[in-house]
Amino acid sequence: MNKLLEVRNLSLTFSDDDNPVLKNVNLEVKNGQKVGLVGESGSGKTTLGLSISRLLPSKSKILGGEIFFNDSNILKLSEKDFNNLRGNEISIIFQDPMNSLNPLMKIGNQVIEIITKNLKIDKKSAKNLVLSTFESIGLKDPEYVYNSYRHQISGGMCQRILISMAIICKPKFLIADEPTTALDVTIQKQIIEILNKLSKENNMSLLFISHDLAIINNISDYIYVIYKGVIVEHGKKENIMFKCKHPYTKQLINSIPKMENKGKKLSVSNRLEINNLDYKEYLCPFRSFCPNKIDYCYKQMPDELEIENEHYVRCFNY
Amino acid sequence: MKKYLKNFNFTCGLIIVITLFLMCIISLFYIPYNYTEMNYEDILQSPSIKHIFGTDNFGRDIFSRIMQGSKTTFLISFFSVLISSTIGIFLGSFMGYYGGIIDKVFSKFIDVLMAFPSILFALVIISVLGSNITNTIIVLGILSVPRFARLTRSSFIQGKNLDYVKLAKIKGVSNFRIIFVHMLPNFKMPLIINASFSFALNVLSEAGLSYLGLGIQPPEPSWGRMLKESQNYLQQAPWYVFFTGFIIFILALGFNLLGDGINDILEEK
Ligand SMILES: Nc1ncnc2c1ncn2[C@@H]1O[C@H](COP(=O)(O)OP(=O)(O)O)[C@@H](O)[C@H]1O
Ligand SMILES: [Mg+2]
Repeated sequence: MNKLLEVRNLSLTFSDDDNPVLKNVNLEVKNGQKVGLVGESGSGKTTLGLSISRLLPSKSKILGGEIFFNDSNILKLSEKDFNNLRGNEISIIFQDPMNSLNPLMKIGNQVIEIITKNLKIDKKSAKNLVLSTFESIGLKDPEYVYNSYRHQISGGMCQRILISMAIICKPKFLIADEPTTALDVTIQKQIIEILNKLSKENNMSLLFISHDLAIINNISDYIYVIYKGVIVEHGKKENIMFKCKHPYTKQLINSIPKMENKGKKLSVSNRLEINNLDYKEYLCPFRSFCPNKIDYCYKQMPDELEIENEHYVRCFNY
Repeated sequence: MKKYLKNFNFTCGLIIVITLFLMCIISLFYIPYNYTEMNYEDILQSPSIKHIFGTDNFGRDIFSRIMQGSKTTFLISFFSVLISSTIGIFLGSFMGYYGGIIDKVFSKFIDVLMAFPSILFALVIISVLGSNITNTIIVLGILSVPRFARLTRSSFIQGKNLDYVKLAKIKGVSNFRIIFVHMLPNFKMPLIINASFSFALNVLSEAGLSYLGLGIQPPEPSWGRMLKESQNYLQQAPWYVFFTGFIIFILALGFNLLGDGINDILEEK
């Protein structure tokens, strides 16, 4: 499989005197691959997604690193060239579907905008394309939805609309930032199915971001685990789910409710917020909470180690 | 709309403004007495059935002059708010949306404009350009630009990080369309409130300028100049100063109540 997206040594900060939000992040997505990015909230997942789509707030500052999409450096492209990529080849779905739709514009008009920009077709066939996409994604009454406003439809429908919007121009790469977090469980499952199906049918690569490893497990081929801006472990889904090495990943996996543990207490990690100065140095971010920490953890950042084929970990214990 | 009418401030303000506006409309077609013709038999008459607000020192019907003056007041307030809101919204939205150097340059420009005492600014401009309706409109218009620009700017600074705005960018919608179709309609309420306050302010400023002799020139009646003239007859004809002052006060009050009311309703949500 060919590389589609490659993030190399990306570091990013929101304010110079604060700890960087992303530290030396490396990430790779191949053609047609479904990559999951998991980590607790505040770990920098959204920031990473936004930097790939170049939608970072203006006060953010990239300290170093490159992002390649199809061998062109995204961070160096002109606004105009990148606009051609965005929407057409790279698309994104945000966490909160309700806030992603403009309250004062009809749904249909919002979806059609992306078509008129990227595909050269007339209004009538654009509308038909929207209606058929709505239908294919499981929206019951497409014509009604087309003419509605945001407040007239449910959260699940909203997210389906956003997915339609994201995939209507058949992008090669879709970033889904917690697309199911705001939805209830049955709808979550349907959305995951839709994304799986779309990825397969259109050979679309996916970067699926979530704080929930159980959901990530349902959708990805490859998993990255991020903690406080550092990728602590990554590997093929099976390697992460069954043979994870990093103490942080182990905690994440233990916190998934399982049938055989029914009735037992969930393992919840108890952590005090450590002061900011502590992160400032380039060290393993998990060291203060780690059950297996060693002296070395306080001296330098461990290098990424290839444990086995398609399985890497950043930890001095290995 | 029901919710709006339940609000006391809003309803009062609306009734006042509509009543006075109706008076202005009616004056286009009908004014009870000739408002320029002097009539020495009726000098400084107190209010009666014939002249409900009394007559002035030239025997002219005060109510008719107030009616005629309302045209000027509404005309000037309306067009100056139009000018300031248009320029202010354009400037503010570009400043907030693009940020960076555009924002810095215009922010400084606006700071300078705000640092200037407004009455001094008006005095200078009108002394140079001459006093007539157009110049009064221009001066009052420019003076309210900073408030519109700042308000719009802050809405846009917050607004450009909204998900649907980011999404519009991803969709490849042009910046111009994002600003005016996607963003502005969602931020219109604070601007409408500000427009209402600006109306009130402009009514007062116009009266103030005319009072200083820098506004509308005779024989066209203007509320501000009527107030000035009425001062000389404070003892012989207190109703003259009362009714003229009252009408200025009530119109400014109406627009202020209207703005307050909308503000209250939005905060309740
Ligand atoms: N616009 C911003 N300004 C300042 N700090 C931000 C901003 N956005 C995110 N951050 C900080 O970056 C860190 C990572 O945030 P985010 O990428 O949203 O994490 P996640 O999506 O994993 O929950 C957080 O500590 C947050 O405080
Ligand atoms: Mg997030």
